Amino acid sequence: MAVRRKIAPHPFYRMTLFLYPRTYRHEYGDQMVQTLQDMLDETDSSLARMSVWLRVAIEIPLSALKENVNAIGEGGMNKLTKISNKRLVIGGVAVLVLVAGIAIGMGRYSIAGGTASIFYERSLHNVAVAQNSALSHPLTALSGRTATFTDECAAVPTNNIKMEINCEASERMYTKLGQSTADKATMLQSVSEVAAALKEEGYQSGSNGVTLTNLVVGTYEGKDYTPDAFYEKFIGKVVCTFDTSIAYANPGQPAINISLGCSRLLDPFGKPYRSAPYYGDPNY
Amino acid sequence: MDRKYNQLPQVAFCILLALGLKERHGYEIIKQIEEDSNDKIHLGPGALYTSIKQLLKKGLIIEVTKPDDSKRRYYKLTGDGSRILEDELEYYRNALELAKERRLVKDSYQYGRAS
Repeated sequence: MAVRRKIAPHPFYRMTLFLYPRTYRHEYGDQMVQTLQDMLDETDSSLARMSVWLRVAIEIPLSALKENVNAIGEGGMNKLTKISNKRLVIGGVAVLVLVAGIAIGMGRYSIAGGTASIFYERSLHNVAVAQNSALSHPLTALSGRTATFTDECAAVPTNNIKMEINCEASERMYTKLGQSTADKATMLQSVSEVAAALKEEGYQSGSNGVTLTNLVVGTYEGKDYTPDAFYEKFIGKVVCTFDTSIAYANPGQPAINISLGCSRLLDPFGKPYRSAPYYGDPNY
Repeated sequence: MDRKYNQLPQVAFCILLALGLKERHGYEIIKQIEEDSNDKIHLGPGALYTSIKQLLKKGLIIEVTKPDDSKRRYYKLTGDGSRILEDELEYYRNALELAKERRLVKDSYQYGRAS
């Protein structure tokens, strides 16, 4: 018999191994975990990872039953009592947890995903409101209007099968970019203040490299920015995004649309949050 | 020698076929089976090691260890395993010839589809 070695743990999967006879578990348990790890390592998307877990969840009860029947045949009825007690309870709970995890992960439109959002909604909204306040209400700075906070959070599907909960802390609103010299000066001053506030609060310019100042100055110069400027700040598992876009009117003045929202990605397997790809991104 | 044909379950046959070229560890076997079956047979660790256990018990494969990969156990065909695999393949070859004679499949039949 080969020596058992310390390998990458998968606690839920290891728990399901309790459904198998002890000798089988000791002989092949580590190799089964290692093979599962190899399968997961080769996946390149959440969908593929979920597919692996689904395959595993389906086959565990069948192969465990087969091994237990074999074990009874090999060892007599005295092994039947062992199967019906602790091992079945632990294994059964593990399978349920595994299936629940898969259900949450696949919960693009699922009840599980919606339920999970309830737990995060209030705290996430508070984070978003606090961020908006910390930035001295950027909408107010740029528009001269007091932002009205929406009180809505929603669980929304993202790419593949992930789900994120998104809370908009401020209403989206358009502010016209006035064309007079005085309007331009006022707008650029506001932009400068907001950019300074973003930097002070620890927001990083988005991966496209377009800053708020670039965007507004460039728009005044007649440039068409796609993608627009956005800034991100990570607070634990929450990411807050200060987002902008330019709306063009013909005839009429272009306007800048600004919003501040915070999101929390609901990922049962703990993958780190990654920014959504933007227009122009090769991965978009 | 009196050979017994078609005595292996499908998964066991697939594993022997995957090990026909070289020794492999668990995940390599799974990948090879997927490739051999045109991505139609997908095994997980549970089904794989249940069959591996049976094949080890029958002496058709053996475990080998590699010093440069101490985390994984590798498996290779034994002499008996190779013979059983040949027998199985001969059975399928004969069955295919018979099916062709009876016009049950086309001559250009390939795995997974008839052109």
